[in-house]
Amino acid sequence: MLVTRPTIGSTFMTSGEKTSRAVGTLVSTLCACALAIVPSAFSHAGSNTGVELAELMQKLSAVRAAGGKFTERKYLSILNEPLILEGTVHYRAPDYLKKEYDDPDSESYEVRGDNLTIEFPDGRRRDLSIDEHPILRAFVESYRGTLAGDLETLRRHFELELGGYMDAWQLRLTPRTPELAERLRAVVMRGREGTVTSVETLEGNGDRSVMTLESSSE
Amino acid sequence: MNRQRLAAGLWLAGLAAAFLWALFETTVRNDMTSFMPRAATPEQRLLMNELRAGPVARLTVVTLGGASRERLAELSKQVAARLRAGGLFVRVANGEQLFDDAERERLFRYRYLLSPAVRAERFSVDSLRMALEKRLRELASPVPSFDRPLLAQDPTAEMRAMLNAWRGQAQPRSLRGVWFDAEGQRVLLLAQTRAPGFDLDAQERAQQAIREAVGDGSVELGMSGPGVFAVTSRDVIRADTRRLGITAAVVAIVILLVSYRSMRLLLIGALPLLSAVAAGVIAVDLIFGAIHGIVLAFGVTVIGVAIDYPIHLFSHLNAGEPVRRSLAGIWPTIRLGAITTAMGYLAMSGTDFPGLMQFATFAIAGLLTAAACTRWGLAGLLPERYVPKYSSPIADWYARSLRPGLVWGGLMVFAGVVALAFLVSRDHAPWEDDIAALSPIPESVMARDRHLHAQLGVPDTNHVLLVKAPDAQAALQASEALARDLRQLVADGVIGSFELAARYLPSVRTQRERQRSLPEPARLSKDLAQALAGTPFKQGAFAPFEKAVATARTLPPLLPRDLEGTSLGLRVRSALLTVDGGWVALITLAGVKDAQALRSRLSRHRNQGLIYLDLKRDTRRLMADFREHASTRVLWSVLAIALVLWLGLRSARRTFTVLLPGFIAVIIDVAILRLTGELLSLFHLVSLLLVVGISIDYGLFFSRGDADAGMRGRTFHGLTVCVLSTVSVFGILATSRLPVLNAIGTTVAVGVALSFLAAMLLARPAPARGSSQSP
Repeated sequence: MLVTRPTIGSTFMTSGEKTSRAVGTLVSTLCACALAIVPSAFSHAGSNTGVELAELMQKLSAVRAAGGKFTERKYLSILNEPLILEGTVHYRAPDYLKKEYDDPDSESYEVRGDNLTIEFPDGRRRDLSIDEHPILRAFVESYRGTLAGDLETLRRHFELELGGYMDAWQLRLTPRTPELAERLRAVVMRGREGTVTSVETLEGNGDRSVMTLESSSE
Repeated sequence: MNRQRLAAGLWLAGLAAAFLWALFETTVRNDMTSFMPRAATPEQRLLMNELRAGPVARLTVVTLGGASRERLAELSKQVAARLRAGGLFVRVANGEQLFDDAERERLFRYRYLLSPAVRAERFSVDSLRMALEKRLRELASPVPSFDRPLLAQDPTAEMRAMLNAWRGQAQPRSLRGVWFDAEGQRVLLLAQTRAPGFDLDAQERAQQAIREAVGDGSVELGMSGPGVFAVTSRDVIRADTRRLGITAAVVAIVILLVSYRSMRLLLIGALPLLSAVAAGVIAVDLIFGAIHGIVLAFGVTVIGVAIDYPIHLFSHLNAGEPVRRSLAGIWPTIRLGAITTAMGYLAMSGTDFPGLMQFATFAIAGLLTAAACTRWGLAGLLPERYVPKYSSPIADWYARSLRPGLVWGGLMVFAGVVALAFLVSRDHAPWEDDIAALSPIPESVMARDRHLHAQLGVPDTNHVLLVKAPDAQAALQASEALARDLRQLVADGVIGSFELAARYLPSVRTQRERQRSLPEPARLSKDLAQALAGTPFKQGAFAPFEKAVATARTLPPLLPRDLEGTSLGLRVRSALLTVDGGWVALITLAGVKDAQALRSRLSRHRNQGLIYLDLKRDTRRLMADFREHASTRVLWSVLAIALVLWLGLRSARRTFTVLLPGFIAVIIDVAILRLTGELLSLFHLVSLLLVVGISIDYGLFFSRGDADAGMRGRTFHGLTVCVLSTVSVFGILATSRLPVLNAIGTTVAVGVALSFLAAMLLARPAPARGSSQSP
């Protein structure tokens, strides 16, 4: 069912990628290329003529469920090599999100509304609110808000900056509060039509992580 | 005649002066401390003082609800900032950064001296590698830990270990950077006033400041804590005193007006009552230096008893004789009634309970004054050969037809026996010795307060260990030794948790021990390099950690005085007190499940200056001792009353007739109270004493054996007015929100009604011989 569209790669490269990390760019680009599988994307002709925020949000909000395998790479200054994590994410409109890792020793994370449930490998569960840490809410809202096409929520937490085209857009979210900005410089979402293909997190200390999604419609 | 006028004039002048004095010179106090028994031991005194003035007594929990979480979190920050700027509070905590930047920086620097996890093994190659693996796992998690930015300096997460140890079990939920309750519906703020908890005016100002800081009327503001309760109690006492005083006066006036339909009698009758109140206030103020608001409210009800004396006089005025003679005729009876009632109160005045002593003093001074005023003051004010107009069909009917026969009397006695059997059959102790039951604050509010305190980790002060030592370091060391045993007790489930100063600030000895366990720089460098091998961490990534450990080895240990003015210092100071030149470490225990086991397990520390206080049990015992003591006194005073009656009446039979209605009334009264689920406190005991006094009065008058039916009718009418006014006034008291007044009101109203009934049915007139001389 996977369809690759190598020609999009160039579009991505021109759409404002600023990082100097060539490896990271390459990886995320390649992964993003390998992802776009929403059938409607094929038939959409006018996707090379710039992108409007409202239109993008509408497209995103039309998707009621999404998910699939992901690969996450964390580039941390304290590490010699990136941490590579693989797993699955699930999203259901409007506010359900689940992240599981392939590593059987890892916890899984499930968000419903404001509640985050962490399930440990031994079956223990811990419930907490995403309000318990400002950065946690920022992480959740950036990703979930984008998937839901919830402009209001996104604007409440972030300054938005949209670039690219409908079949290769990039939405940069910058935290509004300085305290948060100290820990989280920005979150950059990339996608194609109503599908998010990668999430890049830029931390305050220069660390960075990129999660690329290999989406399948649910 | 002229002498009488003169006496009346002097009395009126004296009364006016007394009222002016009472109005301007008397101090009214409204805090609840007069209604607590005095502490028996120096330790209890210390603890009581700590409870009244200490940091816990200065805490107010503020809750804000009824708005969105976002708005509440914002408001919490604003309110905290305003209160901090206002200067009335030494500390306002709302879950925003617990420590300011400077304090945080210092604590971070001292983490290897303060963290309980620091041991030599913590820095071995294996431990270091385990710590690094844990950190790596945390780095992979999508939920970031707060100390992530500190990783290079603190790979063993010592700061986290330290803060976790400080937090203990209880910790409010933190949402949007501020504290919320467990349901996430309300924000919680903890404010500590600069003023002590017993300074009610200052507490009130602090609460007003909180209200103003919130400002927004649409937000549900809740306040809870010792200071709030003290102010609320005072307001309730004030409001009830005023309301009950005014209502009681109005009711007394109405009853007098309806009964005698004479303005003149009303005014004259009011004078002994006003004199009684003035005398009571002045006597209490002179002896105790102030009068308590509750005593004042109670004192007003002495009116309900004192009103009997002028009524007796009015109903015995005879058309054919001068006032003086009528007065002389009934005075022995009034005198005997007043003396026996006063004797009951005398039993209370020698006790160790400031509130009760004031009660007794007020009642004795008031009743004797009212009786004396009736005897020597009223004669000069009533016109000669004045007979009050009244018409009472019931009294006439009673005088003519009702002859309380054996059947009715027997029924009354039977009811008393049934009540007694019921009381004896109840095996559950009828006594209420919980001091909290005296507070006007409803139990549900107190429970909510305990719940909030538990969420915020404010220690509960019911179970406390005290460690006495000559200096602060010795106190800290002793409590550290104790903490080892306490940890075991927690593990064994004997106690839930404990809180002590050494948790936040270890003794210098412990800090030095931890410093010694830190590895030398060269060694740490080598072991760390070995631990790093094979991990994705960069070599050299933890150079800041190596430097921090090296610095920690030479830091001067942290002392209590170094923490002055910091939030950590406040925690330490509230559990490390200076008393009489020595030091006391205060260790509060929560969730004590087995006090017996706790006592025996800690016995080996006892000769090292350890004292275990179970405040609830200790005050309970204090109350119980006191109540037993008071009961004995009451029994003796009843015997003394019987003796005085016998001396006054010179007839054993009549003494018995006079006393019997009171006993039956008291027994049925107690049975009714028990049936309604009421537990008996000291204040019920005092009230029963009052019932006995009043019932003797009724017994005396019913058994007087009045000469003719007309007189009998008037006596009956007079007694009806007496019982109506007394029952109404005490019934009004029973509507009070103050448990003390409520107890007194209910007991007396029910008891007096029963006394009247019993006296009417049982106190038969003495045989006709020489009845006019008999009191």
